[in-house]
Amino acid sequence: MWLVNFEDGTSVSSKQIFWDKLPKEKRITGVQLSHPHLPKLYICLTDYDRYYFTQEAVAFYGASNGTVVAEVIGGHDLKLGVGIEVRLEYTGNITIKTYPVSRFKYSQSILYEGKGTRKPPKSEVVTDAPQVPLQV
Amino acid sequence: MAIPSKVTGAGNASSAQNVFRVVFSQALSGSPTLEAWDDSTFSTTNKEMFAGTAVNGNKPFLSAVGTTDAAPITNWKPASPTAGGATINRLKGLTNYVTLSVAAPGVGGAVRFNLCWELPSDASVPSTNTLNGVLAIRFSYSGATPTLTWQFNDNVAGGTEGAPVWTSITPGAAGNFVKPADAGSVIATLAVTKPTSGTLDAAEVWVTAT
Repeated sequence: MWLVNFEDGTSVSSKQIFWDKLPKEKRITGVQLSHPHLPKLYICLTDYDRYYFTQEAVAFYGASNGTVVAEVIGGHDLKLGVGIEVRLEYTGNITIKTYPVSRFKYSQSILYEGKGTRKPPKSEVVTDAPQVPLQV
Repeated sequence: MAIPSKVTGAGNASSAQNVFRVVFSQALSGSPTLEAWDDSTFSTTNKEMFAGTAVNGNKPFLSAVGTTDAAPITNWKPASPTAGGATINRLKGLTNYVTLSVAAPGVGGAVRFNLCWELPSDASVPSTNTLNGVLAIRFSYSGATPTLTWQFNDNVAGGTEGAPVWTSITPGAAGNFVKPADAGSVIATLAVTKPTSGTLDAAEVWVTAT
């Protein structure tokens, strides 16, 4: 099951709508994937320029319906040209891979725009934490 | 509808494009793949049809070619399997499988393929537990759940390459089977005969009710 957060603060999940019916005009800030039988497991992708979701099914010879075996979420970092894909099998196995965006293997129609506001490197992060001088 | 029937254009000695097809009621998000397994748990490939024999070089017996986008050349069966997915391959689970189309089928779209059984002279007889693998299609979707309709070009119903007659295959334990057969087979004596030496590609493929 997936859940999408939009930049306007709203959320929508697979219980409400099919992925391919998501609004195109709202940019995504994050996508969360959970396992139907592992309720405490959440996998989340944020800060990507594009997102996608698909589910994988297998149908044996002649069968009119397939059995869903895995759910997949992914994100594209267009500046780096790198995609990340998380595949959550219903057996519980999780695989994570990165790949060149040019080798995206699914239909372009399942890609949705993300907010793409990548955080600056840690060295540039300014926090409110007190700065403690190093003791030499 | 005519089952049992010979499948028009099936086998290696054929450049037919319209042999088997699977129609999807909803759009897919990726190219579907054709696989073969021991059974419908889709977890093992231990049978002889996957391991092969000494005579055939220990290669899977069953080959397939995706014909969705183009017709194959005659004698399309590959000499050896290709790791992962390919348009033409010898089938063995997720080790070697066939990618059935370049693009993801849309609503009501279909993929097509052909099959070839290679039979080596040292294949086990009877073949009851060695050749009875399960064909499967793996597919991805991001919208409404597709239903699948598996069909073959029905020779008994008059199907030809130019004017195919698509007959639907019945699934399940009481469903239909796809079987390799000798040239000139009739349903009453449907069988495939292994060669006395070397390997032989089954001349015909039939869809049967038992």
